[in-house]
Amino acid sequence: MKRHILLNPFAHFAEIQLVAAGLLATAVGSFLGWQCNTRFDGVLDLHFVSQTTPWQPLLDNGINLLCLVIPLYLVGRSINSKTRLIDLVSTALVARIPYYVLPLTNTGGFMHLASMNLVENATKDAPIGLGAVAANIAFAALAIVATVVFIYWLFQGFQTATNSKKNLHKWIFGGCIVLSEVISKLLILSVN
Amino acid sequence: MKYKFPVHCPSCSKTLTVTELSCGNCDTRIVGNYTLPILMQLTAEDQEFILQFFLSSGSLKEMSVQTGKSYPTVRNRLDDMIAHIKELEQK
Repeated sequence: MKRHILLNPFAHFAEIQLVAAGLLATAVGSFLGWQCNTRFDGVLDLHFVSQTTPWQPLLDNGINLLCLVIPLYLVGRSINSKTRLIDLVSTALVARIPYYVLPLTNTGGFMHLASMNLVENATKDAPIGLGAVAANIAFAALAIVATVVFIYWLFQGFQTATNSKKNLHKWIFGGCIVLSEVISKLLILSVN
Repeated sequence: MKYKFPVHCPSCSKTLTVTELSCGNCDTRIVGNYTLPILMQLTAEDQEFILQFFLSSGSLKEMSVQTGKSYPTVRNRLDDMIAHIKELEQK
């Protein structure tokens, strides 16, 4: 039963509970982003930097959420006129939770240093340390898992909110994510 | 034991009809060919859902609380059932 709930929390929890959990997670994730110098610079993006201000990760997450919710809501309404905005807001808020764990890997600037080390040594043709390679591979694996969970939850929430059943809707959903990524990336680069 | 009410033919899957009714008291039997009402053609789970919907005064919010399912999940089930009933009406 618990596994079932985790696979599709949107089918079991009320929208208020989901929004509350999602907002709390966004606040914690933004705080971790600030503390661990992480930018959420795109719906499917995350980068470690040398310095962040407290508001940068928060604004990143706000832009990402808006860029996800607006296209999904517009598409959702065209699929099913009964689609509610609150269901897609809760979906976007909860689906992004896996990304909020990733800043922890940059505690003390660890991952930023490891990736800088890898890039610098690779460009200078210098020997690359095994530690830096292992850290980058481990982070890549973790980031892939976070992205898979994010897309899976986002789709479950979208399907629950819109009652979509057709294969075409899956393709439109995929297009929405790509569009959200492009718009959010451009907005974050220009605003934040 | 409560037996499941059969709606579809186990051989060809077509909707069954009632051909005999009997009185449990005097054993009077009525033989004919009666079509099942649309609500009776639904599955037991769907009939239970409609009963719950009726008992909660048609409030999907209340039903979602009672069943432990989210509002859109309950609304989607109702929408699917409406579509199914419309199909049955057209047959």
